[in-house]
Amino acid sequence: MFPTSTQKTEWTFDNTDALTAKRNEASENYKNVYREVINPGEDERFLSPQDESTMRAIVQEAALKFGDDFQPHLFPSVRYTAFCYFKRFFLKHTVMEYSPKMVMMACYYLATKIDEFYVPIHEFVANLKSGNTETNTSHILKLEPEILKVMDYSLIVYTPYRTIEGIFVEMKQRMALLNFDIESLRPTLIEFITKSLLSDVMLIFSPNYIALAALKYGLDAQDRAVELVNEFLRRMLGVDESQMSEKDNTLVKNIDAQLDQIIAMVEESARPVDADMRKSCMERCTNVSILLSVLEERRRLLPSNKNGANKFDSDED
Amino acid sequence: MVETKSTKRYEKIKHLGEGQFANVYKAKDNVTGEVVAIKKIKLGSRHEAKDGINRTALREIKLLKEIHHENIISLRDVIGNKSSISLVFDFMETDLEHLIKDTTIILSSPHIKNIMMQTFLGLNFLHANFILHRDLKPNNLLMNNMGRVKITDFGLARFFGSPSRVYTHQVVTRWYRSPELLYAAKSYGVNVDIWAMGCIFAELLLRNPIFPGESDLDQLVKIYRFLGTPTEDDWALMKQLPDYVEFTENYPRMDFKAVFTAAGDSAIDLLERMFEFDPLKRWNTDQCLGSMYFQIEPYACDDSELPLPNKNQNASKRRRILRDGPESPPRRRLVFD
Repeated sequence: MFPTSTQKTEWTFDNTDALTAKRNEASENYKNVYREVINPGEDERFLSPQDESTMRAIVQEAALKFGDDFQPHLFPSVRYTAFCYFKRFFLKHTVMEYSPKMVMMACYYLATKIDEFYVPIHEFVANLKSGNTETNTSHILKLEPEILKVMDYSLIVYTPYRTIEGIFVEMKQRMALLNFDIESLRPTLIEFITKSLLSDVMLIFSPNYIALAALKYGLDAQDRAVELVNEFLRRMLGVDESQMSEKDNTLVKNIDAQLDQIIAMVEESARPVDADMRKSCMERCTNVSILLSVLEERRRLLPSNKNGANKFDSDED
Repeated sequence: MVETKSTKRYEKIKHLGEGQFANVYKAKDNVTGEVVAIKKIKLGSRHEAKDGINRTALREIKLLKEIHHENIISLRDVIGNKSSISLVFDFMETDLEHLIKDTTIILSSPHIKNIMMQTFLGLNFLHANFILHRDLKPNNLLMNNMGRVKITDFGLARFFGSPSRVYTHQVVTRWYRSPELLYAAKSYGVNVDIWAMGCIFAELLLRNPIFPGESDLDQLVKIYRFLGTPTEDDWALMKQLPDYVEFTENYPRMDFKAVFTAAGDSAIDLLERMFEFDPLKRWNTDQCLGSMYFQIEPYACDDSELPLPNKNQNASKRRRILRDGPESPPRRRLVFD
């Protein structure tokens, strides 16, 4: 069902450039709100695309741990779904506009509901280490409908976890002559999927490709022949290596190239945000919030004073 | 900011009802001119909303955004604002519960066959996509004035096939609940929907619920009084279910032909397959759709020939117009080679 899903049709993009374009657009739209009131030179104090990316990376790093520590122990797919929502949200909005930390928490909460992992809100917020119960609760519940709306109510998230199970089953059946225990790869594959959460691969590739990339990564990590992935693909296509058609050959090569791309993207994003960058990013965030309060005040004093920034205020009845 | 998705697009016609977490309205879509049904889900600080947006509503949105089939209600639009989320659905004239209860309506064999076929086609699509409905009952099968039947209410629906997950057995309105659910099975499949379909089929024939149990235990009694107490031959694994209770009373099986006097052999055969005690022996939607019942006369009628409650006497006239019209709908019959 993935090929017809909203995940594929609405929330899978061609490449990183497409993501960058969307993020820049969200950022520009936001800055435009203050165009009337900003003084020359002040716009440099806004977060740069790089700052925004660092900020999201900082929050994602923390959120990975939040998922590990969560009580009761989460299904891995809940965390995957939460990260997916978070990434979707910040394709349309910027971290200057919404606290990425609170959005991430609300995404987690929404993901528990969507993935049938029942936690009442009071138990959920008991997992938060900062803030108090009431404000955390009210922030999360207030964000919940906004996140839904930003995602245009596309809630389904297919994850690579099920594909990984499928790969194991298929490999055991179709590649019986392997000289090692396929199950020994499992922890590395799961670890790869976890690492992939820090990258944008889920916005570009299907869960099946990500799972196959995990397999290739896992084989490599154990110093096994990564060509096994191609062999596996050929078996799945039901073709023999010696009599492969040009078309099948291209297909396998093409898939393999995409797997390499996924692995490269995951490894690139898995590097922790270094301390200096974290510090400077945090400083710029503080700086921008000061700027924003000044700009908000100027806007309030504008003669026209329309409530342009608050998009969700169009309530009726 | 272009606000095309405003509630202003829809104009309320009337309030149709209030549920635990939603109000339902009949409304007009000012863009297309069509009549729609709007389910407005309450948000805010009420007790029932203390955990945020109702899970049932979220399940419904999640699934209905993904599935598109002519026998499944379509979610046309979702409108969100601060105090509510509104789901916009096709407007449907009535539901099967009303149809069954309306004693002025005669449900002929072709009518029933049509309704069963439409419902099976919708359910087949759900099951093929790994979705269990888990709350099938006449009340959740809607019908519009064109005689199109659509499955609705996906508040309990979910994906199946994740081996590690346990499912609650507290699903399906009691009268339509299968024996394995009554014995608290924690993992089950498409078979629970088929059992409910069997109950609906029987209800269309009898014009009364077939197993109107008053408690979970009484539900089993009602079932066994009709179908006979199952033996281990009938259902090998029943004793392993968590809430299995031994019935000392050995009820004999009723004669289906004596009960369903108007039903032909093929209808009775299908019904018996849907009422297999052992979930593994119970037929799936493919088998049901391929049964003799749908292959022999009398065939299912046209959708337009289905009766509606309080439908005017011009029905036969309207039918003729439809028949004579250039776009007369094809006869709903499955063709097998």
